[in-house]
Amino acid sequence: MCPSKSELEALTEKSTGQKRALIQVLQDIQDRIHWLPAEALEHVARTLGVPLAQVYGVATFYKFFSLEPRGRHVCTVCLGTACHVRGGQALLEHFERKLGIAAGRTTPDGKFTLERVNCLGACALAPLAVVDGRYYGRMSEAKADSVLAGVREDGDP
Amino acid sequence: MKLTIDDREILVEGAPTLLGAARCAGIPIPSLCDRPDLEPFAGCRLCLVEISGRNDFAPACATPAAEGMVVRTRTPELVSLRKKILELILAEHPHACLVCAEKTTCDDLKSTIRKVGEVTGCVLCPVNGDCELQKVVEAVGLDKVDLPAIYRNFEVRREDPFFDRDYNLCILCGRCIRVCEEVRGASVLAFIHRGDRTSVGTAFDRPLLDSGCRFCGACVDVCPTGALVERAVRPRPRAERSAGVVCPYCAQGCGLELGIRETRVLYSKPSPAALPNRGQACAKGRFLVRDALGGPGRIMEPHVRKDGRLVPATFDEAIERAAAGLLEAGDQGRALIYPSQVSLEDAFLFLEFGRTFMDRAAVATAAPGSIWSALEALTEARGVGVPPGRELSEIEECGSILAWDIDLQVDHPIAWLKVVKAIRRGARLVAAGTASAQISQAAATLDVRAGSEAATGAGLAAALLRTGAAPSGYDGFEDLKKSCPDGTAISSSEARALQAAAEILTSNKPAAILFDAGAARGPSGSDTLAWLWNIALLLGARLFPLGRGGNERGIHELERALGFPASGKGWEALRAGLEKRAFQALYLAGPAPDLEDRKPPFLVFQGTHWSRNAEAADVVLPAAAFAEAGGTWVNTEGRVRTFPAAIPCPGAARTDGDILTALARKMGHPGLGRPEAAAVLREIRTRVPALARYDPAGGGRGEFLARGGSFGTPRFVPVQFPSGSATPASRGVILLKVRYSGDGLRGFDPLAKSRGYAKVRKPGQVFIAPTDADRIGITDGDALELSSGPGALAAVARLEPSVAEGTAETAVRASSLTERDWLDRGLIPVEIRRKR
Ligand code: SF4
Ligand code: SF4
Ligand code: SF4
Ligand code: FES
Ligand code: FES
Repeated sequence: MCPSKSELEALTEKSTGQKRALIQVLQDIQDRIHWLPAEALEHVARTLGVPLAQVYGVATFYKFFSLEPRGRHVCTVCLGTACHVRGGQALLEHFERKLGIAAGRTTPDGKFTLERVNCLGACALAPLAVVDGRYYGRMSEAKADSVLAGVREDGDP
Repeated sequence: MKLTIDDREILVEGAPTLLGAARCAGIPIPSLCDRPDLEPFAGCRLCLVEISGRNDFAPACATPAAEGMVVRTRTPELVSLRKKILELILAEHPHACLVCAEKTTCDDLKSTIRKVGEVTGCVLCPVNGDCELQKVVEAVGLDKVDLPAIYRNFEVRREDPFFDRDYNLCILCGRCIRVCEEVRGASVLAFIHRGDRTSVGTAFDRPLLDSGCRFCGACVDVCPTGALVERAVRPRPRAERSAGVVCPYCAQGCGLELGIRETRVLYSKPSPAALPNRGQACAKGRFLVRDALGGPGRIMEPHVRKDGRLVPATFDEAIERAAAGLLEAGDQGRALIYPSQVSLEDAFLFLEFGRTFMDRAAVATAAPGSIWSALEALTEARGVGVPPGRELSEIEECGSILAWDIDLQVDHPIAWLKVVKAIRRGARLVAAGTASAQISQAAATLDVRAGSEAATGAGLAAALLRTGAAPSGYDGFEDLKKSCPDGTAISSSEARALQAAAEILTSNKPAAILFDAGAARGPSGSDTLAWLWNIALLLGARLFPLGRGGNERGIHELERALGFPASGKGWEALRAGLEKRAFQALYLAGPAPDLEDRKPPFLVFQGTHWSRNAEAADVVLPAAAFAEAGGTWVNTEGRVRTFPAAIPCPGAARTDGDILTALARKMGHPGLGRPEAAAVLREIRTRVPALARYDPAGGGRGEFLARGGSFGTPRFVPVQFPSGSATPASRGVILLKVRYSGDGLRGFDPLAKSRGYAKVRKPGQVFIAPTDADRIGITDGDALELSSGPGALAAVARLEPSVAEGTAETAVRASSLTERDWLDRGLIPVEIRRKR
């Protein structure tokens, strides 16, 4: 999903000519549409007056930014040491089966993206998964099913 | 200030960094990311030093020297730290050879060069022996790397013209990124990706060609490793000597250094100390000098036409035929087109030859009218004094810059560097016109609509008057004020833009105004120049007229002093003669449009490269190129320099001076010409006032054309305030602005001869406003036909929002008579149609 021109303008307008607002502006766009399409980077470069190469450099430096389309719902499974020993791997595989995609991919309908991380800093709660920004500790397969079912029912924001 | 480095007391001036201070004192500190011409980066950490009173180490390259500082650069702790840092750098750089005990004898021991696609060690690296990393390893004394070697396996990028990028060899020093941004103002490169995949790259990792790169080669020249290398320069054999020359391509006249082996030029590079370019050049000077000297298409021996075919001949035979044909045509039936990009000495002999054997109106170059002749015309017609040029470096000190209808980055790259520097020092740029690099760095922009150039100039002058500009001491101010109405007949958005520009220019002094021959384009060109002149007086601004071809300015002085019409004017008369078939014989020694069926019955061609005209000639004489002839060149600043021939003429080629002397002798004027270049220069100095005081022995940096007192006191130029913009073109007719892109060398046109350069310059495009394109029903990339009366040109459509509706822009090389005629007219109402 690509943002329309007016949407981009709305997101960048207040930062016109402000090179230092780069990360914030990229973050706003990422929050809004979950990824940074090429047109968005080009628009940001023009509006803020930052060379496009530098915009691309920043966008590829921070893991937070995605240059590929992401689903409207993001599921992240932790595979840090603590989570790993407590069954993180099996949990990730469960998510993969449920969603029908491998880690790092997005479902064809653009609804879900599945990701893996190495430690989210909440090891006491291992194994850990994050769905749409909410942390779920001591995650089990059954719990995962109900969370996913909840998200599916909620429909799209 | 005084400080102590390694127990030595040293005295430094200015505000150097510690690294700079140490360098001055001859104390070596290893460094990889620092360059004196770039801002400190402190990325490689090799230059860490100990400063008394601080408990951490400081990078010498980013630490300002201070009074009384006590610095150590070689404590045991620093030495071992430096080795560790270097090891970390080398872990990701093929280093087997760097730390190999046999490296000094390797060349003798190894039996063959391995043929692999990857550079796995110095023996396979194109910069082996010429590498800063090798030197630093040597200096730091590293003999082993205790970390696992990592080969990052980046794909080597070979898709762009002129140079390859192998980021497996990159040490992430950031020099290329910084030079591209800080010095060139192009900002094509950045660090991209993260962690162990970090590399240098373009936006979206696209090819440089699609990223706004100008292929200036600056990044290649600052790279301390073999990551960026010129493709055509193979590691061996190496250059044996180098020779300094002045780049003949354009009027900025960069000082270049040629790397020579035997009689062959292997490469050309900008000389670090040369002015005005200071170690910088452009794609032509950096990558296309070698091809202009050798390469396919060079004329190596004389030819004469026998039984309808051109066949090789001896020099004497060719001279005899040429003399006979020219004599037969009679005094009135001969014409001479001489080259515009040759040394003053050769140009002088051509003019002497023309004066002796031809009518003056039948002697001209085919170069388009220069800014110098346009300014001179202004001086004569309106009785004002236009000062001679200034040093380009004076742009750097300006507070604001008006770039008037000019593409600096493409046509005047060295002037552009000065603008970039000024902007980095806080100057504000007013970009008038459509050049994208300028627009992207501008504090304000102005539309210079085709056909309304003078109106925009007048509008700006009026806006300056409104902001209260009132310089005293110049005549004509009251008249100027009276002629500028308070409100102008322009739209309110235009008025706002003019006001904003006026405010920037008045409040950031001194202002500089940069323009070239394009400012004099079209029927109201001289009015436009007059307005620029008035604007300069209102602001007390420095005027920087920028010339086009190499030595254009010097040859203009010659033409003036010897009583020949200036470029452009001379061509007009000669062109008319060709049209009327007034000539029986033409001595064609300069580049010229393809003469097609306007070719006179007898044609002598003299030049360096084959062309359509050469192939149609009756006699072909192979001439020396600039580096084979040497001589005196004057750049756009008026800087005069003389350099000796760097290499001998190839094959049977001879210098123009030799050929002219032989030809004149055969034609019965043995006194004309002279073999000694120094004698010719002496004669020029007696005949050309601006050069009277020039002494070729007086230091290699060049002296300046005399700034004579003949220019009088400046005064405001009376000029009619235009009544609104030019009448809008009738429906379907578009006003085409024709720029000049003929950036070739005498006979060597890089657009035709270098595929890479053609990809960079993209000739044959016409820029149209998207709204017009819509109306006519064309899209980006369509093949178009532009027609005006009997003439027509083909071009590819480019939709460009910064082009005003009802107008279009194109650049022509003037390689055909139609292109040349259109260029002379400058502004042409055309009909645009999709080509079937
Ligand atoms: S060649 Fe010049 S413009 Fe291109 S990337 Fe290198 S420094 Fe920048
Ligand atoms: S390509 Fe060369 S100049 Fe650029 S960062 Fe790498 S090593 Fe430095
Ligand atoms: S063409 Fe002009 S800018 Fe380029 S290297 Fe030659 S003199 Fe310098
Ligand atoms: S390992 Fe999963 S939160 Fe630390
Ligand atoms: S030279 Fe100082 S950190 Fe690289």
